[in-house]
Amino acid sequence: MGLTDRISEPLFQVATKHPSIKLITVTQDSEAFAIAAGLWIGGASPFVVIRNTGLLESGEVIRATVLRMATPIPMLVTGCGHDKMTEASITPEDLPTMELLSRSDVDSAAVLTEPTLAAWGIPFSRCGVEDDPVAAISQTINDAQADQCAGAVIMARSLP
Amino acid sequence: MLTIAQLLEPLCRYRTNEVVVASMSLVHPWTRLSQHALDLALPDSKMDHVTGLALGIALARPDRDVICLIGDDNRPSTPGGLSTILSACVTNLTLILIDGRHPLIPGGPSFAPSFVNPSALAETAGVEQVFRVEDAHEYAQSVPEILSLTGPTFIHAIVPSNNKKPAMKGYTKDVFQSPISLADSARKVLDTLKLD
Repeated sequence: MGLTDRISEPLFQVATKHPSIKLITVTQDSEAFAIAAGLWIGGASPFVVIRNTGLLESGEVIRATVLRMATPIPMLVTGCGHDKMTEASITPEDLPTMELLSRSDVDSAAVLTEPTLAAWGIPFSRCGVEDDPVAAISQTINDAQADQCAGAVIMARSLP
Repeated sequence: MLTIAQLLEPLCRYRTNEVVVASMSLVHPWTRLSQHALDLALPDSKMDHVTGLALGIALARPDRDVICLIGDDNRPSTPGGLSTILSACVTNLTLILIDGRHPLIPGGPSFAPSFVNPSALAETAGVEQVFRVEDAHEYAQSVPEILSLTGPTFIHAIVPSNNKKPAMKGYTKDVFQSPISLADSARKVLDTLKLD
């Protein structure tokens, strides 16, 4: 469930046709987390797919539902702008300084994604161009279930 | 004329096994009436979180009705929130919006008058079952029928504002403090639903 963008679109296409996955689209990114928390309470197994810009917008909902309720919701956060970071020789480990965030050749959403997840205490991994996206998604789902804790994979690559 | 007690008491009387999600200023009045295992209180949540959460439960459990009590003029009736609810095609969700702008706690901030008509917005968005209630007697008589309707149902409850009388008379800032955590509360509802 969530909102699509150019990275996650193939995933939504697959979900639309999948026999056992129910795709729920939202109007606003933050809704996805509240609905996912409700789905979990109802006994379903939600998987949130969200844009990195949407993640930044969703902070208060994540705090009030996912984190306060300790819901083990796995999420895929698209890494739009990671390619620009690579081109600009910036790594996710670089500090998000005002100088960096205001650069015209940098997508500030990509720069802020990992520090934001870290600040919110949500464990995450990054799936780059050399990584297997299916394995990364599976691992995120399995980890969330095993640890009973929300977790994220940042999809910093296109999906087949 | 409708008070918060007159809004909630008939609901508590006729409620059977529905999940009830209460938010903000309706948390305490509801918990004083009901200690049901399927009550979920979100005192520090707001706006579309609450309706989204209720929608999620309704989607996961189409066999259960879900009632969402929205306190503090929380306006789920933003076109986006209603659009998501309608797109999800749930028939088991009832939203009850209190429109009164009571201060949440004694001495707390009051709410500015609003010129938005939530029931009109809901109707315009395409919600078929929309009720604007402001008469306690008529409302109490209609609750059983309202709860039996195929949803989504939207109840716009007009509760006269009186900023000198807080919504939770007798309560102070402990309104935000629940004896159990939200995580435990959510898991209690999860476990209760699993028993079905």
